Amino acid sequence: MSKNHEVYKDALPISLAYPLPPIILTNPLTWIPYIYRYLFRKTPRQVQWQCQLHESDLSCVVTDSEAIKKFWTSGFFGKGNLSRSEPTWHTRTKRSLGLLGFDEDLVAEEVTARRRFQRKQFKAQRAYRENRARERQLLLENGKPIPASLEEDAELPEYLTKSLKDFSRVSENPYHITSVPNVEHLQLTFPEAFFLASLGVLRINYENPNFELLPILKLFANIVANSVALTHDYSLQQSHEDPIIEPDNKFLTELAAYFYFRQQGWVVKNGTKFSVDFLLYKKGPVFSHAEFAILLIPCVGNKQKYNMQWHEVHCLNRVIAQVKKSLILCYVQCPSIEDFNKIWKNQASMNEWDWAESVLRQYLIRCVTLRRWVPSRNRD
Amino acid sequence: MDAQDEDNPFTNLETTVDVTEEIQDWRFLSNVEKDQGTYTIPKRGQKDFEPDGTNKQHSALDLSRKAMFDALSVERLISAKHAIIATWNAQNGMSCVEKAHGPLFKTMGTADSQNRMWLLPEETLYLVERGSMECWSEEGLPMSLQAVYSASIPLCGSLENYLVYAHLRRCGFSVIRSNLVPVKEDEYRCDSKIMNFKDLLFLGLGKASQILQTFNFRKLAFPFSKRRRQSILLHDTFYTYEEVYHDLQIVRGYVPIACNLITSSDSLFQITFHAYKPSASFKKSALSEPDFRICVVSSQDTLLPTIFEIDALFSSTPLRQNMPQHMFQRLKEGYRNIIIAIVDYGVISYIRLSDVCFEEKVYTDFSKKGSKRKRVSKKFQQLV
Repeated sequence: MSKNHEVYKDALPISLAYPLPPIILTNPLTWIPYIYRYLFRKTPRQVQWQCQLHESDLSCVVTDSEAIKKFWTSGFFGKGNLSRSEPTWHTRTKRSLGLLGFDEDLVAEEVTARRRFQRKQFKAQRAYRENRARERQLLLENGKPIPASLEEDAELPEYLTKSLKDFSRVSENPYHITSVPNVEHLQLTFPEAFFLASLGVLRINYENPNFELLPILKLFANIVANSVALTHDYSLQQSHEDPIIEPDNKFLTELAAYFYFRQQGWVVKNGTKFSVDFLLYKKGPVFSHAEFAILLIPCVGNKQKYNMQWHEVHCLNRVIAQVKKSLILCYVQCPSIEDFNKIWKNQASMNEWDWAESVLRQYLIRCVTLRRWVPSRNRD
Repeated sequence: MDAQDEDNPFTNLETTVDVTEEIQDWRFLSNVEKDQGTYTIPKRGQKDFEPDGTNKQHSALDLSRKAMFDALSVERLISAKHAIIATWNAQNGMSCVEKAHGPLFKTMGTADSQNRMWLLPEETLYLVERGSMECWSEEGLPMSLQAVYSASIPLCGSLENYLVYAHLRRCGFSVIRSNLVPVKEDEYRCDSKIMNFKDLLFLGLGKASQILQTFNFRKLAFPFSKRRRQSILLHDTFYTYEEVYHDLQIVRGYVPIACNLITSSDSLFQITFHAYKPSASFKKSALSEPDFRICVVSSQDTLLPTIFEIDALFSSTPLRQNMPQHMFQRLKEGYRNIIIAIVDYGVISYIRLSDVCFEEKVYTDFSKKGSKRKRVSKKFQQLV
């Protein structure tokens, strides 16, 4: 556990300046280097990593292995395209080829697989014991003698007590491969890519020359708006003219919520496998399970277009309660169309990040927790 | 060991059975020995109704079925002097009890000057339905259960209201109509915080420190190396990640405000009942703050309330005074709570909506070892 604290000690992939020298108020000699270092600060050089924009799957792809490691260990950004979360394909492949020891450098997917094997074996043993108890009961009721193999303390057959190591003893390396190149890359969602670019540590490359002059916020909003339009009308030709951006554009609402929870210090991950938009971790997936499941509901002005039926609420709440998280309804209160268009059209005359900040400041995040309430459990 | 979002393979072993979802096993009533006079609290035994061809399973089912029939075949008797008789008053829409006795009237009814007890329609129907009271009409005829239903349900508001009322009553809660509770408006007036000298001093120090940070002699020495803003962060030099997060505070979050209690009447969602936990100190004449506020809806007519309807419900609820110490508990329980009872053709499910404030800073845990300078900045952040 202390190893995790060392590996993941950085909260963001930003280079911090060297700390200021210690100062003792009663000793004037310590004032001089402190004042000098404070006034003539040396700005650390921020490394800017590269990523490639993939318009079709609404993601940005990082292939540099140093960048992949940096983004994962300093804020848990992105997802390995061949892994469940952390990019671990390289380690898993080497182990399946026999190039790594059985218990060497275990990764999350392998730990889960081993737990599932244990669980499966336990269930098989339990079913075997229950079957023998039933046969014993039938023989008792019919007055027949019980053979030794059906006694209560008889041993289990050998195939039920075999360990996982025995099953995976045979190594599957018929071509005797000795080295494996790492072909896995890191996928960033658009809110993640924007967040990293806004910190100044990510540079987004694209092949389309039409994207050259667009700020990143507008670029992503246009791509997502075009993607949403394509799902509604397949006959629409995909042109790169500027689509009309609404205040509740899917990218903008996701970005407002993502940015809000990131700015509080939460680690925000995708929540699709639990039917929600985001999962919130306090420190990161390697430290604890996610505490909150966030469902985004956009509202424009004083109207809320999307709403849920009661059975949908109960289905979602059942899923989230089963995986031991708290369901949070996150209402992204978007500005009205007039206020939004006023800021959106100011883009040409403003600095990119001044404009992005003014757009994001118009959104308000309000959260409501939804839980099941049982009267008989709330009487104390 | 990495904690990933996967099912714990041994969770099913430790998962406790949800007692409220089980169908009642009538066998436990057989443990009550009425003849000997000694009463033992019934205990829940192990139940295994899985027929697998053995006589043991068949007899288990037979035993449970016989126990239920034995329990239900006992005739309930009451003596004449303990009978409670109410008279339905159609003009008032209530019933009147001349002689009220028993523990139920501690949490029900309203007494008048002639020492008679008046019951609301839902209270009348509840007592008649559970067999604790007889209801007679004004003409002197006993009313059947169907007659009491016909007279009471229109005055309860809806059948859903009565079903929720009866369910909470059977669970032991004291349930009061919300419109019978007077709203204390003076208690929740907006308070403007007056900053004292110490707070002003810290605020000034924080602002001075902020101004001094933007002053950089290196840029004075090289004025031609000025750059445009390269990121969304205002500064380019950070000593701790707290300072980075301080620059990232851009998207606004909701903070609950204690204002006058507003009761809007145009929304589908209204507070129907106030529920109080079972307690010996409950007084219906001096009602305190309710433990739960119940909003009854029918699942056929409504959807999940919108944020504006939720906000109207929360606006009629005072802010909680003592928030828990732990951050996760604060984020789960929230500042205000509303219980929504969803009635789906007689099946009631409850959900709890909590007004939470996500303005909690999680990033302060990363740099717990702080110097004096960071302590000042923390104080400055608290003031802002």
